[in-house]
Amino acid sequence: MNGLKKFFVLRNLTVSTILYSLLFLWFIVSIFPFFWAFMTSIKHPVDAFSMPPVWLFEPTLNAYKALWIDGEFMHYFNNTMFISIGSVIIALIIGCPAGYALARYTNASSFYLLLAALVFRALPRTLFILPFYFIAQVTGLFDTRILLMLIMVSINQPFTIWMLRSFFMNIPKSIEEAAMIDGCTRFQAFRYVIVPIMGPGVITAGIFTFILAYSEYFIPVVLTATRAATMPVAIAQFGVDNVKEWAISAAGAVSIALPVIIIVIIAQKYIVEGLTAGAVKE
Amino acid sequence: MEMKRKEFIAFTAPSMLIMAALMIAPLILTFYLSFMNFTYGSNPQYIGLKNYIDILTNVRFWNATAFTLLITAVTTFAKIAIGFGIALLLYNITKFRGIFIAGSLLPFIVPPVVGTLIFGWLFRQHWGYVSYLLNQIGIDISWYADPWAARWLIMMHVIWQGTSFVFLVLYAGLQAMSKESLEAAVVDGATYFQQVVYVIIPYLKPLFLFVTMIMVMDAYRLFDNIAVMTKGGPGLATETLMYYNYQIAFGRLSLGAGSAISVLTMIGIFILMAPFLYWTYKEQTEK
Amino acid sequence: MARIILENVVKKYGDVTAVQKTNLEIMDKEFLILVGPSGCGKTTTLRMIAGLEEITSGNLYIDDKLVNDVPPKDRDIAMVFQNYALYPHLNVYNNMAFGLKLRKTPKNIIEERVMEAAKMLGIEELLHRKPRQLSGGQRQRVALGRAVVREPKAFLMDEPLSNLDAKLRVQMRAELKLLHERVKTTFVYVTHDQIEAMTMGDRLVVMNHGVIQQVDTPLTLYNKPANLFVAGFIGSPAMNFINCKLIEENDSLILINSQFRLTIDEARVTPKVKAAVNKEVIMGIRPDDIFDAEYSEKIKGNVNNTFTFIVGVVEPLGAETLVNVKIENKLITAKVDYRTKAIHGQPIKLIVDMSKVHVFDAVTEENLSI
Repeated sequence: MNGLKKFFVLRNLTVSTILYSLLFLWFIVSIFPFFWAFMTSIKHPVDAFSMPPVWLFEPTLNAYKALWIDGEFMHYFNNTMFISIGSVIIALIIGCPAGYALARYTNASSFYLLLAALVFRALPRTLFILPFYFIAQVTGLFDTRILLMLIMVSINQPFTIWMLRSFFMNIPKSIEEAAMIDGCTRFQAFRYVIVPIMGPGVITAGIFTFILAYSEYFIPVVLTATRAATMPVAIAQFGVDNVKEWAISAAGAVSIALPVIIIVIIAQKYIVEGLTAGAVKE
Repeated sequence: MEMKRKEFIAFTAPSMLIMAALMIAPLILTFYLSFMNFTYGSNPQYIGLKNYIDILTNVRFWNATAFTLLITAVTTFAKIAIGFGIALLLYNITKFRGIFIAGSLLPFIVPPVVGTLIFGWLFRQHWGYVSYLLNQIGIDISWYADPWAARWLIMMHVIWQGTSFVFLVLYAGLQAMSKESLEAAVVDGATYFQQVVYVIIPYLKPLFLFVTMIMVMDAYRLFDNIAVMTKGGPGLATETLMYYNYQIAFGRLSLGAGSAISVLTMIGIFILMAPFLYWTYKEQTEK
Repeated sequence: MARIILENVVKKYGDVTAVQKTNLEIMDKEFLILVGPSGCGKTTTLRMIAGLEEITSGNLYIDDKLVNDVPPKDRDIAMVFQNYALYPHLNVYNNMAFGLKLRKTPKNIIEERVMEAAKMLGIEELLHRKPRQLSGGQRQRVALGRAVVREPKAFLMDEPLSNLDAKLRVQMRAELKLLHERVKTTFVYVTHDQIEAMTMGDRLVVMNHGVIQQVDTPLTLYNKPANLFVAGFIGSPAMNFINCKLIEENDSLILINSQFRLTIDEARVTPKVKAAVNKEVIMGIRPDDIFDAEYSEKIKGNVNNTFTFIVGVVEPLGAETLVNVKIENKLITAKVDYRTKAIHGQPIKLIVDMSKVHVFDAVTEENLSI
């Protein structure tokens, strides 16, 4: 009897160990490239290039200095931040009422708009951007941050509205109804009662809109030259070939990734909820 | 209280206007341009379906389509299989969930360009760590110079980047599932494998559909990683439809032809999406 | 005169009629209750009065003014929701002051009214708390306070006590009745619980499938239900219904079926009942009006009002016992003296108070004996 008991405990231990190991493996696979890039960014070039890799070395911030202080990365950072934050603000200001309306208006048109949102998400970017290439040149908006910001807002609106809508659906209708009986028009009810309580949903939608704008590569690469270029565009120019400036490229990669990593750590809850909100219907 | 039509229009107007101006209008313009011979700098001339015919008879288009379809099929399947596996694993684990989720989210949330770069460096011939490790066990692959190696490189990156989305969605679905259905199966004598196949998978079916549809849509439109990692190379081995589109429209500045490629890509996506939409529609109406 | 009049009011959702042609006059200051099973249209009717639902056809008058197209905020009514619908981001004071602030009421008047309402409802201590810090009963009171502060022409309440536990519910019923006395305003109240309705309402509107079945005081509904539905809905345990035939014998009317024969009391014979002789009817008798023959001091048993059946289930309640017997495949309940010796499977002799029996038309379900 004792032998049998031991067998089950062992078996559970083995199963447990295997489970944790597999997950750990995937964890490492996910993290490792970041870790490696970080290592590279703080190594002297001579260390960075040696194979087998050097694990004990004298760290240096030369790469970062070269990137941020001597280089123009600050400029790209400013552009990226300006465009991302700006597009989030505009996207939310016009997206919240729209998402709210879609949550409350139970007509057929609401359904079709949602379907349209899905369809637009599916379309290749070139369909939207191609005309802008020459329209922007002609109107002098080429290589401007404003244009990029507005296009980001527009292209991400379907997604933003969709996400906001699912959050608004969770607010019971009776709250607005109470407000409207108390004396509000629909818009006053929205402003005084719904807006103050839509916090978490807005934060989640805001985070995603920010990340989408922040990460965008195709649109800036087509519509900017140097003035309004964003960080993804800048770092792509370093490409994979530029061996000499490898440490600087690594520093660039880490620099771009860092704000996002911080957001993930702080706002993990919101991100997970946002990704799964639309999908898991309860 | 029901929202009135007037209110609905007022609330959605700003959003709809911006989308109409900056998304729908250009869309229509692109359609229109696809029937034009338009090289940037000169005047557009109407040429009917010539762009389409030229492209559809061009081997390069079909190569790009083939590769795009290959990526779509392989990576979607892999992402779903691995993502589901991870979701099941995590479902049975109690510790370290938060850290694990945060870590596996990184490849997905970080800008694709960055993810592409740092992933790609590991496979560089002489100074990539993974190449080095492979060399240690006697494997020498030229990831960037060999066409098929390059293709697999791209596919591996896509899987690395996108699996966590699948995993998260399925995991959330698993958590929403009532434990009773599983317990009933256990009482009935089901093995773990049977539990998965007969209880979990049917329950998650709508999520599988949803996630697959998104993955297919995204895979078909891959651009960032191609542009940064291989630039379509070696030669044209890793050229996807979007990259091909980019080369024609902005490399050669043939905006008319480029528009046509975009339209064809869109049709391709719709064809791929159709079965999913149909299945989702069936699921909904069956409820 | 804040009376509310519904004139031929109909509510349709597409092809589905939720509320059929309804005519109702709600008196000023009365406590009127709309009661009925789920889906009967009571909440829809209330929401139409509030202005939260569009009236498909017909006219609604509040205070003798036509208000069909008047938005809720201009109807001068206050509503209490089932889930209270308090504003989560405002404290209790501001929740109650919200409506007044919107109408630009001067600050001192707001303070006066809020404090008065708070005192009336016993929530002065809670004024600085937020809804999430309150219990269910407290939230309920704040919702009431929010309505009281508005000094409306009518209070509309949509099952406000449903989310409270049983004990609290009983307590709140009494408090609501008291509140009604104090504010002397029309209360229109919706519930599916007939006990709640019976204990609180001045008049009840019994509804089923979108149609008003009867509008009367609780006692009248109990003693003189207009049809089968009202008879079966009001009163707990529910009235017993038995199919039988009405025949005439020697100037007496007798209810007869395969298992018994009972003579109807003279007092219960109306012209309508007489007209139903030789027809199939439905006999209705409340459990309270069936007695164990051994322990019936109140009523004398004779051959015309007694039957004997095999006992089914026996449920002791304490002061009384419910005895179920099977008649023609239906379970009939009798509420008898607790001393009864009824045992499952054994026969029991029961006396029926034939002066309380109801006769319903088998087809129209109309109560012929009122």
